[in-house]
Amino acid sequence: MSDDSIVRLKNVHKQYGLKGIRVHALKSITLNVNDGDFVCIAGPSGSGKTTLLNLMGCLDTPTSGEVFIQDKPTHNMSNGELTRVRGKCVGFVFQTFNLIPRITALRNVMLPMVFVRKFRKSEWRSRAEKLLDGVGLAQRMHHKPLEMSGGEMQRVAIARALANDPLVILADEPTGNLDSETGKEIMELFNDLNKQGKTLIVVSHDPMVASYARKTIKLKDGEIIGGG
Amino acid sequence: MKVKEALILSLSNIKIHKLRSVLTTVGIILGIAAVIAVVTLGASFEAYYINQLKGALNPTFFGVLPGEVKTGATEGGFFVAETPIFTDRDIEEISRIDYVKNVYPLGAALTSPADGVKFEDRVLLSPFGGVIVLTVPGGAFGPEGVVTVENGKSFSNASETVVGYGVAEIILKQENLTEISDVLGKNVTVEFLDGNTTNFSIVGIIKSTLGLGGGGIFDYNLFVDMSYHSQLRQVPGEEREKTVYYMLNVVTKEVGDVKKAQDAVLDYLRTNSDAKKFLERDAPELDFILLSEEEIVKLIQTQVGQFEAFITSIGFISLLVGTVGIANMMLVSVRERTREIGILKAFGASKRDILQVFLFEASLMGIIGSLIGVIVGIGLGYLFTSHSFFATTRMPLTYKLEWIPISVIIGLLVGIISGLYPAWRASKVNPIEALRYE
Repeated sequence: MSDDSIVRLKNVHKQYGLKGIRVHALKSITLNVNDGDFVCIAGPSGSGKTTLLNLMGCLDTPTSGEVFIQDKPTHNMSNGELTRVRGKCVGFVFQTFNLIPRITALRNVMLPMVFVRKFRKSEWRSRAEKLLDGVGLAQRMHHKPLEMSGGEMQRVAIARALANDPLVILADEPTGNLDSETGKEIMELFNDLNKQGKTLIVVSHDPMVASYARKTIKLKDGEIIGGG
Repeated sequence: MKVKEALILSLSNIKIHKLRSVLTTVGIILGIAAVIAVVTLGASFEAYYINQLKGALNPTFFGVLPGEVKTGATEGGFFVAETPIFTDRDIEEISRIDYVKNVYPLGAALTSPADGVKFEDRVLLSPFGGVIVLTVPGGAFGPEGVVTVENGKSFSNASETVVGYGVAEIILKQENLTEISDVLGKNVTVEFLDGNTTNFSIVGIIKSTLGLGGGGIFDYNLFVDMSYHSQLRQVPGEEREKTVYYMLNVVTKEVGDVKKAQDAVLDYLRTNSDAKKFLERDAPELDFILLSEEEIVKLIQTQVGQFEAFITSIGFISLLVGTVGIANMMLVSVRERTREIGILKAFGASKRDILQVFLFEASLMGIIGSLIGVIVGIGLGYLFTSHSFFATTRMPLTYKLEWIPISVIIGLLVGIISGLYPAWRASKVNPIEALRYE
């Protein structure tokens, strides 16, 4: 494939066994996300969006098929290997922000650096400060998440996703818990990041989110029905 | 994972659940506190008592009594029979032994059971009942004697008496005197069993030796001249009645002679003595007990050690409970923080990282608990020593500092042991499920 490929899936199937009933969550998915892409994965709930995101984010492995992160196959990796690739290559943004509430915004952003060791310890703090400044939270970095608004928390989460300078940012319904105005601000922020060259994959069923993306992949019942 | 980051994650969690964390560590706090308090009390008691004893007893002295040394479960204990079996012939024979300098027999004056010893018309009472009047040659209080007279001197005639420290203290309190030496010159009245009453002038006070359970050796005794001793017994197999004594106090020429003298004395007593004839007839199960200062010290140390071991074992049970407590809380914490574990894993935390975070937290709880335990324990030790039932005067606090690092290490171990399983559970959490966990 192209040298620009960041995430590539080839004929991927994912099945879950729930109490003896086999659920076919993804069927024969083939897609490619290139460096600098801004992709929206859209579809109703239960269409397999989050399962797809988990596979691309190295949280999970497919039942069959192949997954490549920058042409490195991850579908046969052990949990430990997946953890290493995930830490280095992927940054997550969640619907419910998922910050650690007890520690400050700055500490939350530093945490991924502690685990991955891509950057030297002496850089952790200044890097986290720079990232928080980049999302407009220079004044709020010593606050704890509970003292922040939803929009602010999601900005912290985006700064955290950037902590290890990942190849791709995966956002799962990033505006789902925000009012529409704040949701737009967050999407503007994603837009700026994409303009700076970040590869973004956003899962959402919100047309507003899809409107920011350069490309939309539509999912239904575990299959791609459009885009791609 | 760096220690600092683990510390921030753990401390912030402990801080949020302050009450829960403190309650969880109660087991460790109590366990460590109990051990520290008892060790402190034991060390203070031992140091104080042994110092007192060493200052009071002549190191070249050893006592000889009939009795039984107990071995086995109550090792270090002994049983002393209060029966007069030593005769003047025994004293003479023992005096002839090479290493022996002096032998002072100990007898007793038979006093009226109701009001034996009185001071200013009030019967003198010790914590054990009455005050017992013992007879001993005056030399026993001299420079080559058995015990040290701290105030005054030994008696030189039959109307003078040397009293134990406890007796002097009773009089001191009753008369509102300031110095213990003010007791010298006071008169005590002794009513003997035959109805005779004699006044004795106090001329000397024995240094207190502070014993287990309230009084020192001789603390509540009155010592008077040998002429008041008049116990006679017929030695088995002999016609004539002889004077018999309860105990012999042997003083050797050198400190180094004590062991050799004891062997020789024991050899004589077991083969050819009058004392042996009494024992064979009356109590064949009994033997002779020879107690030197060193042996008394050893005995005290064993008894203190047994007491310490008992409380320490209770302390360890408490630590066991503490271990279960921390383990339980950590399991709850792992469940509560499932989502957090998912987040950490999503951002590259390995199994090992997660294991470290939770083990670290459990260890921290253990160490914090043990440190609080040390402080509480030293406080309790202070209370015990300052309000002691054992001491007539206040014991100085003696710490065993080596127990502080030992306690912290125990706390750390308790933390690690209790954290192992919860941390393992945490490390196994599936990040996909954890992120969905509400």
